[in-house]
Amino acid sequence: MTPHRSRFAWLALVAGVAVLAGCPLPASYTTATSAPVTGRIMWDDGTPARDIPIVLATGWARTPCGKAMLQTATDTAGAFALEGTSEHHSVVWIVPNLDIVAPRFDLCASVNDTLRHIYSGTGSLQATADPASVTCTILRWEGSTHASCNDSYRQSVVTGGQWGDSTKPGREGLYRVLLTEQPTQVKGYKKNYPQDRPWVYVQWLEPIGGSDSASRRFLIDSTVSLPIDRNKVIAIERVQLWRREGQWMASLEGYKKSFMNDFTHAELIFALGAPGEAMKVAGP
Amino acid sequence: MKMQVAAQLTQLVALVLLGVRPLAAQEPLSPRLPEPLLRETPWGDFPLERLLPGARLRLTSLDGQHIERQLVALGDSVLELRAPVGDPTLRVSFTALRAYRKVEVRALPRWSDRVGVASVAGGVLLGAVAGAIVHNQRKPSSAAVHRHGQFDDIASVATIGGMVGWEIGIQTLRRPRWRPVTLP
Repeated sequence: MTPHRSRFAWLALVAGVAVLAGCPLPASYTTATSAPVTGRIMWDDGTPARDIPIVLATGWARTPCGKAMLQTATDTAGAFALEGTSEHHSVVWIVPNLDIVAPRFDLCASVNDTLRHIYSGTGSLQATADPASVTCTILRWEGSTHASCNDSYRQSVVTGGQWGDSTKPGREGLYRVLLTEQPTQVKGYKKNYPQDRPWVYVQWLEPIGGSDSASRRFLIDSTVSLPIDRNKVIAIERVQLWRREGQWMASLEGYKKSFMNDFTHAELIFALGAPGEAMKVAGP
Repeated sequence: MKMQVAAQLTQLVALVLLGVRPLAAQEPLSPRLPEPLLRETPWGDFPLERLLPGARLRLTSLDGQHIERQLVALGDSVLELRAPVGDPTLRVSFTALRAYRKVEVRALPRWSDRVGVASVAGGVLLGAVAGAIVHNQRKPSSAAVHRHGQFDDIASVATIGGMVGWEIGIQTLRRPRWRPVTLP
């Protein structure tokens, strides 16, 4: 190859890489990195969780909510509000075959001096994002706390059904199923590299006053962590309480590992009975 | 005239390439909620409380008339249903549902691994038969017969047959159908 041709090849290569890699355009735009969030945090017995520090974080960080953008605390009613955040860009990059998705943000609550992830939301590719409204429950169990939130799209805390205790007539109440994600050591990953896996708790609640959601209080009869094979089941996205032939069931729908590291739909079903009784009847 | 034709052709190419429809051809936004993917229980039934907002319900009255509604919300003992366009929300209690001859929901039927294995095995079997036929129909003098033995033909077509059988099995068996709802 002559030096002239060689130079031409280099120029063509550089131009080709530039075209394939992206094209900057001098046009400014703004994205909403987080939506305005209003919410309420309650302890599992229904009392408001007051003075709980809340952190909103955007972007990736090694620890939950490592890159805090906004901070607030719950008031006496357990309520909090955070404004939306945005980011201004002065250059648009056009990159072939790149699907841009709306930025995500995380909410964390500092419970017992430990910052816990409680909610993930979505901002917008526009300047403003639709506001999010969340209702969170903090579970206290065996000396640790776990939190989970409901919004208009996802129900991670489901309360319903009805239980009775045959040994103590007149004693009855509701079930609550609470879905959380916790770092868990699972097979196939190095030690000290825990993966986020689903943990689901069932509570047997006795209502002790109040009819609306703000004044409702509960006596917690029992709390059970449902046995899930977290080496197989990698995520749970839907929790439901339903009745079959008079028996209340809690079903957990999500994904499990399948052949050649693929993922497939999985549903675990637990039959719920008197306080403390939860038995797996279907699923991996 | 030429300019108009050129503009229309450009528009057509853009539509084909980008999959975009001109504004005039776009349908009005549907008032429906997105339909969730519902599944039967492992026991092959669908209890009412497994319904989710957006589910499509078909109610059949005693005189055989169907009405189709979408679930807006599921209360403790009442369903809020919405008609496709314009009609007011319908509130039906669980008790009132019993007055219908049939209550059905669009849901995926219970998946059986046996069905999946059977569809793959059936596809492989059909593929093997097709491979044998393809091999036998080749002219004895053709070069392909010398290059590929009968086993090669059968194995290659059976592999494709297996994949096609699996896909057909999934497409035909794993799609939402009208399933009866079990009332509490």
